[in-house]
Parts: sequence; C-alpha cells; structure tokens
Amino acid sequence: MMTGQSNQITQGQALFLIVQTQMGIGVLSLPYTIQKHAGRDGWISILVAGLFVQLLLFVYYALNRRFPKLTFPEIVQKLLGKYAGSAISILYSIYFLLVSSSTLLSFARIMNTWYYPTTPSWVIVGIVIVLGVYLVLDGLRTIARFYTLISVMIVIVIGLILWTYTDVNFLYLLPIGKAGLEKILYSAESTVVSSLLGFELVLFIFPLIQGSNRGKLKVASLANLIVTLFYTFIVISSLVFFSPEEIKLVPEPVLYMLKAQTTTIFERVDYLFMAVWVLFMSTTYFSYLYLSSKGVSVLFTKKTKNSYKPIVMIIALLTFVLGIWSKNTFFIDHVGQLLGKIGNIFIILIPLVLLIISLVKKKGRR
Amino acid sequence: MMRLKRLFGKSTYKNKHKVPKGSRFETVEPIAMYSTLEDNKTFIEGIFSETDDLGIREIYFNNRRCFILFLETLGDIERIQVEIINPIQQVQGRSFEEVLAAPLYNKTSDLNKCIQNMLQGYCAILLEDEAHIYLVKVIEKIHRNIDEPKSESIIRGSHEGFIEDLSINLNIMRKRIENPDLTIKYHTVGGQSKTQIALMYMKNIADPDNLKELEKRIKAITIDTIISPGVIEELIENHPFSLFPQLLSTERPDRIEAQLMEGRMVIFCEGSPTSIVTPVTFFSFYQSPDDYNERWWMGTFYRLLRITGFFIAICLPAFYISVVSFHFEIIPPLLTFQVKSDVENIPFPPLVEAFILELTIELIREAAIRLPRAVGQTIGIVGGLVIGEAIVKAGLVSNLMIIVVALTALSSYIIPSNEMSSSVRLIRFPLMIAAATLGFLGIVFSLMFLLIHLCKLHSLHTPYFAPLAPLRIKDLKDTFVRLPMWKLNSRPLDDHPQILKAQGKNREWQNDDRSK
Repeated sequence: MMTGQSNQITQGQALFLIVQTQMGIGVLSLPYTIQKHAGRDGWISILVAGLFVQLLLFVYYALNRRFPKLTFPEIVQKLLGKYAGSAISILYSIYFLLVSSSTLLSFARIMNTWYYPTTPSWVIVGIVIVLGVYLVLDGLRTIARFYTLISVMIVIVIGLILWTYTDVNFLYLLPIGKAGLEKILYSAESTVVSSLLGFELVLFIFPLIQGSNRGKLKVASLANLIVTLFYTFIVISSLVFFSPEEIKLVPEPVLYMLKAQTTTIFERVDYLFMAVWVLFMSTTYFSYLYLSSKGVSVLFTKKTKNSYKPIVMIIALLTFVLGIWSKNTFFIDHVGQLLGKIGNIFIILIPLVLLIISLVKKKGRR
Repeated sequence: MMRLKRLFGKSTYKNKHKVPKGSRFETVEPIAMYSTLEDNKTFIEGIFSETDDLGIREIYFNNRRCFILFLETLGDIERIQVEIINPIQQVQGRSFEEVLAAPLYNKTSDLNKCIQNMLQGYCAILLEDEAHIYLVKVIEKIHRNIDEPKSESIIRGSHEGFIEDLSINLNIMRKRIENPDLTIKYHTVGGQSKTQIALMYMKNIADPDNLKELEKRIKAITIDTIISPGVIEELIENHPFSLFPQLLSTERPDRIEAQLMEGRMVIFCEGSPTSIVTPVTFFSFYQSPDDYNERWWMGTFYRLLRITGFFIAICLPAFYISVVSFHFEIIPPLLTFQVKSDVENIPFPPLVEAFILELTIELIREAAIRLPRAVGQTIGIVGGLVIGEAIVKAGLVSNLMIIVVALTALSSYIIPSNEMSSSVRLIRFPLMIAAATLGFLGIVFSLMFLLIHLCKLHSLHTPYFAPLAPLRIKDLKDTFVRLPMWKLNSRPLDDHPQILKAQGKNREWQNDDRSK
C-alpha cells in the first residue's frame, strides 16, 4: 500500500473522516433505543460509551505506534504470519462488507417508511452505491476532501434541533441516575454497537495521516469527543422534548421532533433534516466500502498491478446484492444486532490480542 | 499593383531543384543551406511553387548578387523599400549588417527556419558568398482597434480588451506588468496552420511543476489547425468529459493580470482575442474585476449574490418540480391555495412544463445571439413578453413556473464567465429529471454527485474545488466574500505559488495616527 505523501491526508481531514464515518444511521433511532434500557439516563450511557471508545482508541494508538509505517493488514501479517494475517484481513473485509450492507438496508428502510413508501428500495440503495463507487475509486484523499466539505452540515443539523428547544421540559431528565448503574452500562454497550461504530477506521488510516503519532491520537480523540457530544446533545434534546411516556411510542424521535416544527416558508422542517442526513448516512457507507476494498486489495496487489479499482466494483456489487436482500424489518434489526455482537470481536478483541502479541514478541519499534 | 509587378517581376522560373513532396514541411528539423545563391533561391521558390504572392527582387550590393524574397501579402512594401532596398542600393563599401536599416534582424543558415519566418512576415535576404540568410521583419499589421470586450463588460475599471493580434495582446500585458519576471514563451502548434501561441507566466511566482505539465501538454498537440483557443482548451484539459470548464477564458487584460499574479499561466493565441488561463479553480469563474474595482462591501455582496445565483440556477426548477409533484406537504398552508389553484389546471406534469419553458428560453437566447443586434432586441421582447404571456393564458404552463424559469435564467447569466454560465445551464436539466423521479432525494443525490465530482476534478495539478476541497480557511478570504484589499496578504495556495506573500502592511500609518 502506498504511504507516500501523495496518498496522505491532513489531520483536519482525518478528523472529519472519522466524524463522518461515525455519524450515521443510528442517530435517528438512538434516543429511542437507548431509553429502552436506560430510560431518562440515556445521555449518561452515551458519555460512558464515548469514554469506552476513547479507551479503545488508546489501544489502537498503542498498536499503531509500534508500526508507524505499516497499515493494519500489514501489521497483522507481520505479527501472525502471512496466511493467518491474510485470513484476518479478509475477515475484516467481510465484516465491513456486512456493516456497509446493513447500513444500506436501514437507510432504505427509513426512506421507505418516512418519505418514499412506493419507491423500490433497490433504486435508493443502487444510487447510493453508484455514488459510493464514484467517490471511493478516487482514493482516500478525495474521500477526505468530500467529507470535510459536507461536515459544515453538522452546524445545520444542530441549528435545526436547537429550534425544538422552544418547547422542551428539562424536568423530564430528572431524577438523574434513576436507571441504575447496571442498566446504564448495558445501554452504553449497545450504544457503542449501534451508533458510535466507525472509529475503527482509525486502525486503518493511522499511517495515512500526516503528522506525529501523538497528533494523530489527538485528532482521533477529538473526533470521538465531537461525535459523543453530538449524540449526547441529540439524546438530551429528544428526552426533554418528549415525555417519558411519549418517547416509548416514537421509534425515530429526531424526525418526529422536527416534523412538529413549522415555519411560514417551510412547513416540514424534517425534510430539510432528511436532506442533510442522507449525506451523513451515505458517508458511513462510503467509508465502509473503502475499508472493505482496501483491506482486500492490499492482499491482491502485486508490485506492478493495482487491484484497488476492480475490487471496489466487486465489493460494491456485493453490497448491492446484500443490500436489497431483505425488506423484512425484523430481519434487518436482527442482522444489526448480530453484527454488533460480531463487531466486538473485530473492534475490541483482535486489536487487543494483536497488541498483546506485539508486546510479548517485542516486535515493532520500541 | 502594376508598379509592384514592374518592381518585382514575378518569377516564372520553373523549379528543377529537388523538393520532396508533402512531408518535407512537416518537420521542424533544420535544412542546411546550399552553397550557391541560386540553389537557395530555387529551393525557396520550390517550396512556394504554386502560390502567386511570392515576391522576389534581385539587386546588387557591393557588386555581390542579392535576392530579396518575401510574401507580398504579408510584407509592408513601404518598409521593404525604406529599410532594405534603399540602404542596400545607396550605401556601398560597408559591411552588410551595418547597412541594414531595420532595428531587428535574424541570421540563419537553416532554410526551414527561413521559410517559417517568411510565413510570419519576415523578408529573406540571400547574399552571394554569404553563409547566412538575413531575415528582417517587415510585416504589415492589420488589426482592429482595442475596445471593450462585449461579453465581459464591467462598470468601473479598465475598458481595454484583447484583440485578434497576438503581439498587440502581449504588448498590452507587458505595459501592465513592468517586470522582467513576466515571461513569454512562444510555441507553434497546428500541423498545417502553424499557429503561434504564447505562454505567459510570472517566472518567480508560477509553480514549476504546473508549468512543466502545461508545456508537456502543449507540445503533445498534433492537431492540424488551431481555430480558436477553445481547441487548445479541449486538447489540454484534465477531464475532457466533465461538464465544468477547467480553463478560464477571458478577453480582459485586468483579469489576466490578476491571474498571473496568483501564479497562473495564460495562453494567448494568434488570431483570437480570447486568452485562456490555467490552472484555475471553480471559484475563479465567479470572480469579476468589478469585485475589486468597487469597495469591498459591494464586492462581497456581489460574490454572495453570484454564489446564491449558482444554487438558484441549478436547484430552483428541480426544487419546484419536486415540491409540486412529490412534496406538496412542505408548502405552508397560506401558500397552498395559491399554488394549488395555479397548478391545478395545467395539463402536463411539472417536468414537461419546466422543459417547455426552459427550452423556450434557450431558444430565445440562441436566436438573439445569431440575429443582428437590432433584431435581437425584438426577439427578446417577442420571446419574453409575448410567449410568456400567451403560454400562461393558453393554460400550458403555470404562472409560478414562469417565475421559476425566469429567476433561473437570470441567475445563470450573472456568472461572469460565459463557459461556466453554459455549464450551469446544462447541469440543471439532469437535476430536473432527478427531481421528477425521486423528489428531494433525487436533488440531494444529484448535488452529492456534483460535489463528489467537483472534489475529484483537477486543473493541471491544482484541485479544482479549492479552497473548499481541500479546505483552506485562510483562502476563503477571496472566495465567498472579498475582504478589503489590505487583508488579502497571501496568494491562494491552490496553485502552489512560489511566493506566498502578496503584500506587506499597507495601513501602518493608522497605528501612527492613533498613538499621537
């Protein structure tokens, strides 16, 4: 893999790359899923989850610091040998492939239930995939530029949600800590799974960011902080907008919240939100498409031939097939939960094991 | 004419000298001179064997035989007489070079170069027992007066514009920038037409990598003839299939000056008043000299207006279509009745309605350009008022649609660059179709595609969408807004200028005043 100057991204770009990958489909339903267990203390769960992600970032940092020039697939190969390493890289790619397909599935589902009940989901999914291929073919740098550009939209989203603060009741948050520690932690764990995912990108792009290792860690941490605070903000907003009884009835609280707002020139504010959110949901897919393709292409790339472009196409085609597989809501939820469980292996277990191996074997730079 | 014939009796000498057919002149390789005067003359005659405008005059200088060859249609007969023939005949006994009265002459022993130069209006002097051919520039210049470019008029500031003559255009630029670093490089392109183009840049500012790349691309041109710089543009741009123009063309010297100072390179082309600038960014197309001629508040306002115009031009018809055909619920209640009553009786779907009107406007535009100016205005009135009024009365198109389309047209015409304006007008059609098929989602996806596309584009080595992608906040000072002149301290980084600093402190005196 090229780690030359031409392929590197700046720290600012890396920040938005991580932020955009993390912010995705989950947000729309996050306040609803989180209150199922943690109730009105959901926002604490998010903060705890953010803290947990931060710990994982330290693990990634520790691992990558030992091999500053190598990308993740190369590190795995170095530590576990060629065949085991390749196998793990392929497993990662498959995992990312599944995550990207499930992103597409949920995206299409939201679109179908909220705005386009009669449009076949494969049309929507297909367009996102075509856009993804168009962007991802150009490599990380263009992706990072694009993400940086559209991150301005976060301000619009926050502005739209602040709008709802005209009729909120902060008393809904009280009493703090009612749910109890166990439920808050349980909820935090499921939050990491459903919404904060995306930070594992750090593992893969670490050597591609310019600057010192410490600077890279700072960027990753800042990205995590931004996303965690943003999610906390959204959860708190929903919790104070809907009464504790109400929120149990709204599976996508953010959209319902905005739907209630009207202006004299624009009756349905949620459309505006949706327009922005389509961008954020697509970027999540784009990132996973990139990760999935990059992981495999490293294995197939010979010195003379770059296999990145054909692999992007193949992976995109696979996500299309998987993405239109099922229209069954329960199936999608089920797959999502299953992926969450498997995800723990990939984002927590394997990096941790690799770190331990590298420490024991004393491989990599001290 | 008769006098001319008498003076330079046209040669009817049948050429026996060997001149290979066809390909000979394709090469730029030098052809060595022959040893005798007669042979050289015959060779040149052979090259111009069928054309009637080759003038040959035989005279003697210090008893040496001497031929003067030139193309009558290019040369200024008066100058040949005064600068060449008179001195040669009158002054004897001195060396030839001292005798020539012309300020500039070349010496060459390359017959190919001699012929090239004759085609550029030089007069060739062949002297007996001389190893060189003397070439004296005697071109008769025919050109129109310098006036304001019609397509790029501004309110304040210079009303000078380029004309069709290359050397006058270069002259205008030299006068504007009195700096030895202003570099001009000539290239000859066009396999048949041998058009001269000039590449101009600031030696100390322009990025050498970009320059190398550009020269490489210019040298790769093998096309027969360069009709206009548009041809060059298509041959050297990075992404020939993109809708966006990647070279800025302008007829304004002040615009070129500003671009040169930012480290960009300019191509001038003989026979065309349009010069093209590269590398450029998307936002260069939205900058007009007027922004800098007026005070910065106004400059900023115009910039914002144009950017808004960009979005209106590509999105408004699409937005209208998607609202009317998909998302009626976003219209607030008070407006609903008006829109509904207006749209209800239209027999067509909104997309067709929009296409009818958009096409009408494009037709009017095209017709107005092709017709003589006086008639052009009439067309505007007929098209705008009559069709607009009648089409609503006939119930084919709603009143709202007229407003939308008129606004769109206005917005696309406020762009200071004609190419970008055309691109924007084209982009809105796919957007309209997307809006008619998928509503808002279609618009969002199209805009996303557009953004990705813009992020991918490069002009030479420069990212096209800079300073937005890659984001460089410092360079936004002259993008969406135009900060005061004394704030524009550094050149934009996108084209990697060698000197980043553009100015020092201009308003130091302000501090002095305050301290007193």
